[in-house]
Amino acid sequence: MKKTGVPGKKSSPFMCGGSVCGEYHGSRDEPCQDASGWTVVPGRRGFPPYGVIAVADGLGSARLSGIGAATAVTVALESARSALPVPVGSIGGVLFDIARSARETVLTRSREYGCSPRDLASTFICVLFSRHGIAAVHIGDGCVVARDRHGGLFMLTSPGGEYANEVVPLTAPEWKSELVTAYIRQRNGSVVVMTDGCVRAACTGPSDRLVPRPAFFDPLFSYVLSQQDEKSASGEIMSFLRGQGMTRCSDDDKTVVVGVIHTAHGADEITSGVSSSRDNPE
Amino acid sequence: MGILEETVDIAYPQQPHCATVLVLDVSASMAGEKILELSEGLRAFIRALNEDDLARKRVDLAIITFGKDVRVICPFSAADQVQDPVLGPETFTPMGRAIVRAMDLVEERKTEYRDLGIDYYRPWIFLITDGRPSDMHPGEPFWDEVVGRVHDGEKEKRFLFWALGVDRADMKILREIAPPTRPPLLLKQTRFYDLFVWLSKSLSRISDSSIGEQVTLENPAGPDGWGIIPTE
Repeated sequence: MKKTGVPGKKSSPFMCGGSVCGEYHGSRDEPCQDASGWTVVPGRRGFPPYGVIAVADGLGSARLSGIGAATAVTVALESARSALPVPVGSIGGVLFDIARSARETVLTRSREYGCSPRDLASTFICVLFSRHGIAAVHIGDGCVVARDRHGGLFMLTSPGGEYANEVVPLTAPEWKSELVTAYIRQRNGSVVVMTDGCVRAACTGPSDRLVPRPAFFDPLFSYVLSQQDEKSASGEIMSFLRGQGMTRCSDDDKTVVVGVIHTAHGADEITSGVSSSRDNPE
Repeated sequence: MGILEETVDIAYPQQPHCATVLVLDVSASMAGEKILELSEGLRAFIRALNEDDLARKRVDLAIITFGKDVRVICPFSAADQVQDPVLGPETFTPMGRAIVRAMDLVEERKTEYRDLGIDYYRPWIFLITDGRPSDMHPGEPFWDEVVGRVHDGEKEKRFLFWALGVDRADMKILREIAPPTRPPLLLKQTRFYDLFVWLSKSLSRISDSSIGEQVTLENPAGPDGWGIIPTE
């Protein structure tokens, strides 16, 4: 596995993490229905390099949801590679296009399989980040947590609904109205993307007003910021997800992907706020 | 043990909960065999919940009766905390006030869950009656208030409302009370036992669902079901 960032090199995105099968699916000899991936889009034309993270959680009630989740993640990464880099003002449109491409490909796949789109239903999260900021598009449960260089934690997106087993997936007809996009200007900020199997281990509060817990996120960010090798860091995170502590917390599949900016020098923070909406940018 | 397992503090949440309210008619017309079978079915229901590990942990059951008065004979409790309910026939049928009490209980319970950071499933309200309300009639303000709250609550996904008629229940009235998307069911004979087996199975399936997983329930009005959907 190649390195996605090099400490010491100016503003280089570094990502690591992965998805592991929970006890619920493991005990039934069923595969993990979470999918995750990441990539770096090199900087050019004066734009910085972008880190791209895509995560999807196949719905338990959808028989081919693992395939749907993996398809959505693959398409998101491909779409981001094609679209980036762009000016900050165009990020919202790029995120929407990524989600739309992922959805359309999943719907095409359902026709190829001769099944309902519902059978391939999954949540969907795509995060784009650079030394200038962090942006996310999100539908379904799970959450995206950002951190500034002072250690302040922000819940960037967590659009899960009120009830535990009622999620609007990417394949739903009403997907546009449920899609959440958010952007935070944050110099050299860090980000964690996680599926619902990890959320209660990491956050407190009601499901529609989650609050990230520093006791969970601070050691995680500190660890990743100190790492140079993507493969070993990902192995450590996946070992953590498979460990007794996380297994005791939830029997669901679990995904954590962390993105940080490795810098040559300490960076100045220029936080200016968070924007979030369910509005269709089209 | 890896460095993350040693350093990251993991929170251990409570099980997600499913608030369920049974709203039971114990008016005089239920006297005799019906109330005996309702009582026996209710006991079987509680036994079934107790035999299911997840349902026992996750289902919060409250029981309201309406007869002489509206009484919460069992506040929200885990199945293994529910006392053997004693149902006796009483006068009157204050169904409207009982439904309002059930909806209030559900909202109060959800607030408690949220305050404690407990995930929860959409609550269920299950009305069982063999008659018609004595405390509200179509056209009256209280009728409009109660029926409006039921319909809005269902539409806004605050709860799932099931209305079940028994024997000579006024199904026309029940159809007006029930949400348009979920017409009332008429119990076949007095198959309370089958009804409560279905209810415990349904709640077990919901309890066994993962966060994010949607659940398909058996159709109670199917060929082997305990209920029918009257068309007249």
